[in-house]
Amino acid sequence: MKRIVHYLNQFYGQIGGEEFADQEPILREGIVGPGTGLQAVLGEKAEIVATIICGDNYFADHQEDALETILTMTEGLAPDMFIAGPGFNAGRYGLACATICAEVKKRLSIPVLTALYPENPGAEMFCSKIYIVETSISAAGMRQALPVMGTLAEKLLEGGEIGFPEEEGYIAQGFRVNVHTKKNGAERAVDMMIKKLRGEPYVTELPMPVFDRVKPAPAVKDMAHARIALITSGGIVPQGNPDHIPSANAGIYGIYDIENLDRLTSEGFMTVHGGYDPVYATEDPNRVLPLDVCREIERDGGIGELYGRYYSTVGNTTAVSSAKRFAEEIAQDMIRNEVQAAILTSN
Amino acid sequence: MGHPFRCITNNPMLIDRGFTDLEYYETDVLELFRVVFQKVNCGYRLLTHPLTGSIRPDITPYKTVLMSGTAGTIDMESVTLIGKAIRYAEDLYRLRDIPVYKKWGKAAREDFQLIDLSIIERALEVEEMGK
Amino acid sequence: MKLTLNKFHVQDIQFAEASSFCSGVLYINKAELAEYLMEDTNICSVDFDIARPGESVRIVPIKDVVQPRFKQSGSGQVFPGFVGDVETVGNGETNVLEDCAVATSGKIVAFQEGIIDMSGPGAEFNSFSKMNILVPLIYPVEGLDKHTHEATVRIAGLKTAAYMAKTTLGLEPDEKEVFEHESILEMGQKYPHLPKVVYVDMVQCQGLMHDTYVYGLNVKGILSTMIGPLEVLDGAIISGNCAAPGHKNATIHHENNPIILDLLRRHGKELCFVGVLLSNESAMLKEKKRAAYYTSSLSQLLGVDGVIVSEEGGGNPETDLMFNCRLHENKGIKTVLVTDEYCGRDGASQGLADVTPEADAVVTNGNGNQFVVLPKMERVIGDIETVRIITGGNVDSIGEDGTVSVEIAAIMGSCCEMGYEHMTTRLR
Repeated sequence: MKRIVHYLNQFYGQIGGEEFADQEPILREGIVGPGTGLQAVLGEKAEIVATIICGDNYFADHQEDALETILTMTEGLAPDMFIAGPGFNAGRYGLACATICAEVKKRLSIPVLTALYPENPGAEMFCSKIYIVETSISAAGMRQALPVMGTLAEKLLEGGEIGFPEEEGYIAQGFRVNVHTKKNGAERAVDMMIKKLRGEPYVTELPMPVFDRVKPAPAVKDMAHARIALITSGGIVPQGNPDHIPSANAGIYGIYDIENLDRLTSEGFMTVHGGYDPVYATEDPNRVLPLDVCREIERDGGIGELYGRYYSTVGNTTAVSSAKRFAEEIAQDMIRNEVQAAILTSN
Repeated sequence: MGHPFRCITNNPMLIDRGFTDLEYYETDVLELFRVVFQKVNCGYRLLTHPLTGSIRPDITPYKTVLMSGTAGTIDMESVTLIGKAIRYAEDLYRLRDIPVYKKWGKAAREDFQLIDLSIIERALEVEEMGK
Repeated sequence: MKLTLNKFHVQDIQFAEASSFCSGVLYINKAELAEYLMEDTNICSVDFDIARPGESVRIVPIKDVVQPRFKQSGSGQVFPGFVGDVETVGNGETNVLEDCAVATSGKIVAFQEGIIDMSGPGAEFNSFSKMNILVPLIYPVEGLDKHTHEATVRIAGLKTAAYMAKTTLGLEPDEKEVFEHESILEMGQKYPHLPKVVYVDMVQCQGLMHDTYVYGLNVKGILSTMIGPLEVLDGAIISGNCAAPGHKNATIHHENNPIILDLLRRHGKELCFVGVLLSNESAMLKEKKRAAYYTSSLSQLLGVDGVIVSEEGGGNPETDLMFNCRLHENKGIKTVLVTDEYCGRDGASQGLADVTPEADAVVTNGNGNQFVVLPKMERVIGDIETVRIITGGNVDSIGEDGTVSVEIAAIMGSCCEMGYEHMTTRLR
């Protein structure tokens, strides 16, 4: 019987809720929580021999150590496969599931599988590297997710050919492959034309890249009296990085006070962005967040006033879904503070 | 042409052919596109599509791009076209460890120069029809 | 208008004392054909070879592929402007040699391209491998310039195709297919309730080895225009395009334009096939726009509900494709686009050089970047060394054991953007 190791967070692993998110990785023999449902689908084909449980915060804050521990635990069990989650749309948990799976696959060369909501940052980052079953947004979809996971897991264990996403239930990995068709391209085109003209549903064979159409706000009419805010994705933060904004794949942004500052100093501020050589930003953070120039313009009456706080995050490999969320929240904060326009600098 | 134009090219066959405002760069097609990108950002407009012909930018060593002779406000269409062309070329350059264009012998290189020249001559020929 | 295609199925080609077609075998008198071709004094000498389905044969490099046709009756002659005079074609009867083709070969430029494998994995990538192919090897006179050399080989291929089909004059075909196509005003009255569809055939015209001819006229500088679908079946559109074998439209593709054929077959049933618009693909942006504006304006004048647009080549033609799409959709005319992709070895790159959100109905004919290892063949017609330097090939393509690793973009017609073959890409 094939051996599977299952990974869960503190909640699904029945340790506790958010208060236990700092739980270090522990190993439990046999099945825990959703593993029961998964095992029922696997039947006699495979056995979940152990479950590794780790707190979401612990994994996020100590990723390197956590990975090492989890990998060592897994290796010691000599499993045939590793399954994590399902994580649905939980950000930290989903990222942990996908990250660990990818690492296990890389180091132990065994099939891996997890299950996430497509917009989970973990899905965005790893769908091309590992198979991720597509789930609903919340755990209400547990009953639907487990059978799909189980069936795909069996196929991966057997080493058989894995079909297309629509057939197997995984999130598209992003690889377009040539396949033979019964009808030639011309017939398919005429079929599609007829359907489109009749208003019947059809499926395009080559979807266009998603165009995020954001309608620009109308231009600021009275700049001389406008309140302007600064935002940066270049990772400029106060010295010490009080909010622990990570150097890549940021899940958070910070809001920092510049009310009484004419410029950023290298004593007061630093860069945490891991995607560019920090030397010049460290020397002079104004190169990334141009506070000095904005103050000049403010003094000369080019703008009404500079808002006394700025917003900062790190754009380096940050998931689009995260960036969207930050923008929505920041925009709300700006509206509350009567900011009329913002200048966004990157790096 | 109804208005002056400039030729941005890495094709030596265009030299000494009476093209005024010829800018010759001894570089590959992708780098040439990056030069064009700089110029577009200075307000010069694209007159030809950067990916002229059907020979891929990772296969032919030569390309000529016709641009407006004078600069104006930045033309967004030119910006997006050169951006797309650069991305398309970058993806194709990554197809092999050493892209095909680096491996041609002298005879093939001359033939690619000839085709590129023919494409530009044809473009100008049709422009002439507008006079 | 009515055109009958008299189809003769070719089972074999053989050289013989006299040219004839008998019991499925096409007999060719090499000397007589050579004499006919060498009426063109630019040809120094010519030789011929035959490739049959299933043989361990590779033909490379190939310039054009042409299907033999000849008028049994009706006005004009096939390939008007070259073989035929410029008289309008597309009526009467045309004799067609099915399962048969002419593939012209010869070094016009040092990087000639296009492979047809008659067996093995390469044979899966086009329909030509299932045809009996005559390969004229054209040797030009010394010092011929490239433009003239290209034209010489092009015309020789057309003449060869016509010569071969001429052997069937007066014979009873294996099958007939009749195409009828009313005038536009007639069909408007006859099919008031059927959706009206036009086919926009985008044709290349960018210079040496990138050209298309209609009734012998190079389409450079033309304003978009209309042509009868039946005329196209008689070879009114000819390929002068030798670049990018995987997705250029060879003459055989024009003769058998699968979109025209399918629209004709469904005409009066599921749709009303109004006609064919020719829209050229120029290197100049202004011309691209003019073509798309003019084409969409013609569509509007015709009052169509939908257009199917096919492209030729890749890179800049995607801009023509998207212009045509956008302009038609903005006029309320629904579009379906037919194209192919270069999305990288793994299929993860963005496959088109241009995109537009209005392109919501697209048919793709495959990823040209897929690599395939072709085994050594017993015989090569043409020049195997050119595969080292062929599009989609690689200087190191030829292995010690004679295998060749190429992108399918090097295989003639593998991703034909008229939808001639049976391949698509799917997302994993």
